Amino acid sequence: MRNRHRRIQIDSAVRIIFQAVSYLSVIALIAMLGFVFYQGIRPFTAPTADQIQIVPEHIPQLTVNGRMYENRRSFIDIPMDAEGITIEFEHQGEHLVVNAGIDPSGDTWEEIITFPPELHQYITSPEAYMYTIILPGAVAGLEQRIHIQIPEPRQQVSAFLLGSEWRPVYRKLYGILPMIAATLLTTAGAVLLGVPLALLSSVLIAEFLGRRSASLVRSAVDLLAGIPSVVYGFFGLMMLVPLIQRIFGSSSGSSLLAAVAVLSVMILPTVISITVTSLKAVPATYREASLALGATPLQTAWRVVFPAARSGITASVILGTARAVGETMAVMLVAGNSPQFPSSLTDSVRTMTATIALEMGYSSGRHNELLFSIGIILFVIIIALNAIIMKLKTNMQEVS
Amino acid sequence: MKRLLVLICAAAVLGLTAAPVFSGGSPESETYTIEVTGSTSVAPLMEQFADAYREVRPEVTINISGTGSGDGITGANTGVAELGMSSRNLRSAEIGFGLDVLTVAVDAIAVVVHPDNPVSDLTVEQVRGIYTGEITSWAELGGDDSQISVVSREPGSGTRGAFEGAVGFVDELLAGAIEFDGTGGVRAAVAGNSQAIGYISLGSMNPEVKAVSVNGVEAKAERVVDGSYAVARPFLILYREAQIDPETKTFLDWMVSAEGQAIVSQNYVPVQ
Repeated sequence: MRNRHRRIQIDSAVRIIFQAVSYLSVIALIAMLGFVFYQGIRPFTAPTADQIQIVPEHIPQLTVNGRMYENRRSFIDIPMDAEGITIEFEHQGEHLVVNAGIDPSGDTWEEIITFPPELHQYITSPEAYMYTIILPGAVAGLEQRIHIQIPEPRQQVSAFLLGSEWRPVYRKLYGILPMIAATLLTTAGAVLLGVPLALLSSVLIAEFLGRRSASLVRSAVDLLAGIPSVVYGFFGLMMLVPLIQRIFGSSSGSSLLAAVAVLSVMILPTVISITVTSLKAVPATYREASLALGATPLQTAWRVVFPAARSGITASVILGTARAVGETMAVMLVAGNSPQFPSSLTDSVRTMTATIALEMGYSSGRHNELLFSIGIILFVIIIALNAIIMKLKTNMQEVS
Repeated sequence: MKRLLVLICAAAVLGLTAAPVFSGGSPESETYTIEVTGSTSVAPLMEQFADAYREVRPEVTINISGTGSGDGITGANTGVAELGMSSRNLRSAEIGFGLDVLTVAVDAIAVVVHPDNPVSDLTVEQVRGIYTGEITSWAELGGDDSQISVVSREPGSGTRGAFEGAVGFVDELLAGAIEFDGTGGVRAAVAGNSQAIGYISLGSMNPEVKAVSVNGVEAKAERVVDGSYAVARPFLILYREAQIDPETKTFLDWMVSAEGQAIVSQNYVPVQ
């Protein structure tokens, strides 16, 4: 009796562990989405900071708006509604006063701070939203500098999605339309080229090949699916890219065409394996009936089996599309990664996934957050593709 | 009962293998691990430092991850890594993080072309012209009549920032330029294309590509020392003085000591 009680206890403990493990994927999804959305939405909801930030270099003591700072090496915050900025410090034995006005309603960042004309020769702007006042030092390298950073305003969604310039570091232009175009073009090209090939070989495998040769071809396809994408990319970079350069006589073979070619091979296994499965699932009675009516095997495959497996085939094409949208490494190696609109097949392009992978390790601040925003766009595309598959599945259930 | 025994054994084995991992970073133990992250250009030099330092202090392990200058600066700022590596000077927005900076080496950026390319000398203006799209054919530069394939690093790269700064164009890269991440990617692209031009760290040069001289000055460490080769940048180590372990401080001092700088001078320009 006691033994049985213990077994029940163990059973329920095991059940709790199982449940926890099965919810792990849901938790992982929520955690990942939460993180991506949290980072990716921020640039559109708030400016980078609420205040103007000032940091001195090689100035041991300075006074900003009446407050004195010694050996300051981190930002000094000035609220946007302050009347102005007054910076006082010693420069080569002279007491200098820098006065600047703030106009928070300025349309462009250049209009927010106004400097007196006598200071203009010392002011540089190393990047957008940033002024650096450089005063010569006794020795080169010891120039006194004051960096003034103006917060970047809220990023406009339209400027992000429809902007055609991606200059994230200095000019702070974040338009991803060329990347969206590149992702759509490479995907469309891969689907146009890869899907007909995949469908033809699926019909061959499912309907015409003998058991032994069918399993040989299928295992080859399965192996193709197992090759790491970086190997596809490397092969493309070493073989395909020089070939394209020679054939088209372009300056470089890294191009939209190379990306399309590599992707179209990469989506083959996904499309073929699901299509074969759904072709095989068509009841044998369909084929028998068609053959008995005098149709040839080819007519049977094309006119009877194929339409019957329609929704499975559509699902396979959509999964192949999703694969092409999400592919990163192989495309990054062969596409050339220029953020531009391609005007021909031999032009270099940069997909959204490649942008994230290329720049994540190098970006900071808003540039970094906007890479997450690109992730959100990709996620939306994948969700849309998945929704279509879900719809197909319910349709299929209604039919059967 | 038997199962319980197996479980206990498994737990014991796990515990034993995990123990050194957990004790690795604790201050009271003999060993210490320094986490270093950042620029892919500085990483090869840091590997050399780590190899040599193993002889000096075998109880110190140095973990290096080459992810990018931006990552190195952010990592040192947020404390993810004790030391950050950067292959460019800090940008204005990063100066306000208040990080301590140690320059361990100076590196030249070599402008490279395919070994078959007859062009062997360019001026800074010509390099700028190529990268901004004003010069599009090698014929304009005394080479073959073929289009120039411009290869660049990705936005935010330390090498790219330093190169654009030294050559004098900022964010004006021509739209059709090919972009690769990492020095190796640029080198491979130039090595595989006789029409290509790229730029890489001088310490990563190999015979697959040819370095052109800039303004008549060869890309060599000696030419950087005398100031005649213009395209150079510092290798920086970033840290917070107040937060680093004494063991890390010793390592920092060692990198700029005569012994450490001797390693630098093999491929780069020493700072001392």
